[in-house]
Amino acid sequence: MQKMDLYGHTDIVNELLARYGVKFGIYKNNEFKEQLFPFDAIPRIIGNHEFAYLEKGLKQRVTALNLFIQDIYGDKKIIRDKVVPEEFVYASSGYLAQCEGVAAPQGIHAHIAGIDLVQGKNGEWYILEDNLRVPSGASYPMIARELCRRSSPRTFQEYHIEDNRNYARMLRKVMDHVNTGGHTVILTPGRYNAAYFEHSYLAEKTGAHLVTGSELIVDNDHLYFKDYSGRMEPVGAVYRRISDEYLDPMNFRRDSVIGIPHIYDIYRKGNVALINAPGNGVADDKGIYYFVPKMVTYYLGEEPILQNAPTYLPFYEDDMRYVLENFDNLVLKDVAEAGGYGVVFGNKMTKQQKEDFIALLKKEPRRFIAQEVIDFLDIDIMDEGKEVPRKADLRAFVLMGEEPMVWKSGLTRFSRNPDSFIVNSSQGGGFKDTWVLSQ
Amino acid sequence: MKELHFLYEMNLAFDRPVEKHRFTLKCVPCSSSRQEISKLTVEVFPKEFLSTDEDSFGNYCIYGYSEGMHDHFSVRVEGRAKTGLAAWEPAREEHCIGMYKYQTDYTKPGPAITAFAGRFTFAPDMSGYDRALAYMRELHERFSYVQGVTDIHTTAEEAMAQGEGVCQDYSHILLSLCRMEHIPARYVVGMLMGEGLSHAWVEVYSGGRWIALDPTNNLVVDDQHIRISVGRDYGDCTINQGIFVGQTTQTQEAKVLVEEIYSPE
Repeated sequence: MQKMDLYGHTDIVNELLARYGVKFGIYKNNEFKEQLFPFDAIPRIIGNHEFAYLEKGLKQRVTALNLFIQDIYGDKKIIRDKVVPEEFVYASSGYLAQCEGVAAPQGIHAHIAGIDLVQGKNGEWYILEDNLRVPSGASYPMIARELCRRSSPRTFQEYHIEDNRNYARMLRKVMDHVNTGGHTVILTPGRYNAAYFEHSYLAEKTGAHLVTGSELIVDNDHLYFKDYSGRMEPVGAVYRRISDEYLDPMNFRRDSVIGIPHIYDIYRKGNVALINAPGNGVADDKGIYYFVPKMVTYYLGEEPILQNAPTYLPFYEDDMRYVLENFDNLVLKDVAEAGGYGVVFGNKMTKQQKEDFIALLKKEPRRFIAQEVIDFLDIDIMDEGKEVPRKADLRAFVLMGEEPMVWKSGLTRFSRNPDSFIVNSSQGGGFKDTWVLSQ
Repeated sequence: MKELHFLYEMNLAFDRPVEKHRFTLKCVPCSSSRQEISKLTVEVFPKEFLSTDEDSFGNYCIYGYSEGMHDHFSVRVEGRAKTGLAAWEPAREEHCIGMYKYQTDYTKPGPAITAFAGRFTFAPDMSGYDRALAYMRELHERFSYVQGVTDIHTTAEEAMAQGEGVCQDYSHILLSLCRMEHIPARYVVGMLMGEGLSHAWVEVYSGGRWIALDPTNNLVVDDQHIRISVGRDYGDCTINQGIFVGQTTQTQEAKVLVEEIYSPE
C-alpha cells in the first residue's frame, strides 16, 4: 500500500488528541494516573464484502446473547434443555439474583455490545470476547477520524470510507427506542473514571445530559434530574457508565456513593430504561463464552457465522485431559478477570509455576478456560518512522434498538511490545482507526 | 393450626438529626399456602413518599424517602396470621430454584464446615429433606446458642469455627451444609411466638416442595412461626435498610410480639 498523506500528520493528530483530553485513566498501586492513548495513523482497513460478513455474524451473535439474558432471568429454558450447565450461570459473578423476573424495557438487555475479534494469519476472524456490561472505546475512533479528516482532507477524498460519525445517531436511536418518557442522560462516575473522556464526548455528540449520581433522584416511583435551580425534570433513559454493583446502594453494593438509591426499584417497575441492563455479566463471563455458538443454534436455529477461538472447558473431563496434554500450546484465562488480567500462557511459565497452576486448575476447574493461541495476522504500526508489525484486535460495536445495528468502524487496539499478545488499553497499548471501505 | 396476633415495632433514634433518608423495608408477612395474613396495618414515620413492590425472591418490599431533618424513624406492623395451614410450601416457580443451590459469601464453607459435613454418610436414596434433618439434629448438638459473640457480618464458616452464635448463624451453617449436598435451601426471616426479636430459619427444597426447619430450636416448623421474607442469605432479607445524610450515632430498638388468639368457640 502506498504511503498515505495522512501518515505525515500522526504527531499533530496525537497532539490534538491530548489537547482534547483523550486520555485513559488507570489505577495502579492505588494511585490514579492519566495516560495518553497513543494513536497510530495507519488505519486498519476492512473491505466492503468482508465487513458485510462480519456484520451479519455480529448481529446474529448479539441477538442470541440478548435472548440468552432474557431467558436466564426468565424461564431458563436453555438450562432446562441442558445446553448450558446451571453452575456456569449461578456461580458466575455476573449473575445477579436481583434481576430474576425483571423485564427490561422493549426486551433489550444488551443495548451496546463491544465484541472483540482477531484475525488469524489464515484470514479467518475469531471472536475473543463479548463485552455486554459497559463496553467503552467507540469515542476514540470517532474523534480520531474527525481529527484525521481535518489534518489530511486529501486522504479522505482518495479513499471511499464509510463515515463513522453516525455512531452518535445510532446510540441516540437506541436510547430513544427504550426511553420510558423523559430526558435521556449519560451517567458518569466522574472525571476520575478511566473513560471519562468518552462519557463527555458521547454526551456532547448525542445531545444527552452528562450527569453524576447526585444529580438524579427517585421520587414517587419516577426518576428526575435535579438542576442547579432545584427544578426537577423527568428522566426516561439512563445510559449509565457505572457498573451494576455501584448503581444503587439500596439494591446492590451498599457502600456505593456514586449510585442512585432506589433507581433499581423503579427500573423493576418499568419506569426508567437502564442502558445496558443490569445483570448482563452473566452472558459475557469467559466461562459462558464457550457456549455462545451453542446459543446461536439454540435460540435462532441457525449455524453460527462467526467462530470462537478454539476453547476448552476444564470443567468437562475430556477438555481437562486435552488441556493437561497440550498445556504449553494454550493460553489460560481466569473467568472472573477482565482487562487482560488473569491471562497466562502455558509456555511462559516456569516448572514450579506450572505445577502450582495445574494444582489450582484441578481444584477449581470451573474457574478457567483454555484457548489455542491464535496466530494473529499482524498489522503495521509506525514505530519511530518505520512500519513494524504488531498484534492487534478489533472491538466491533453492535447496538440493539428496534433491530441490531453494527457500526461500520470499530476500535483497533494494538500492542506496542513486539512480543505481547495483550492489546488492552489498560495495559499500555495504542489504537488505530478502523476503516470500512464503502465500495 | 393457630391464629396469632403479631406486632413488629422498630425505632431508630439518631443523636443528631439526619436528612435525605432512603429506606427499604422487608418487614411485612404475606399470605402463602402455610399462613394467611389479615387485618394488616403498616405505619412508617416520617416519610415523604412510600411505595411497595415485590423483589426477585417474592418478598413484599416497602421503600421510601424522608427528605427533611428528623431524629427518629419508626416502623410498626400489626396484624393476624393463621399459621400451620400446610406442612410445606409449593415451589412458586420451578425455574427459580437454581439460585438457592449455590453458596454465597455468607455460606461459603471452609475447613470447619467441611469437617463437620465429613462426619456424615448418606444412603444414595436419602431425600434432601432427611439429609437436612440429620444436619440440623447434629448441628443442634454441637453448636451453642450464645448472644453477642457474632454479628450481622459473621459468615457460616466463622460461626462454625467458634461453635457459638445466634439464629442467623445456625441458619447460615445449615444452608452451607445443604448446598454442599446440592440441596436447594433458602434463608427465612420471620417472627416466632412469644416476645423478642425477629427470628431466622431455613427452608429446604425436597420432592418439589419447600419444607421449613428451625435449626436454632431443632424443630420442623409447624404453626409457631410467621414468615416475613426469604432469600439466599441474610443479605437478601434485611428487615430495614437505609441511607441518609448526617453525622450521627443511631440506636435501633426492635420488638416482636406474637400471641395466640383463642377463639370463643
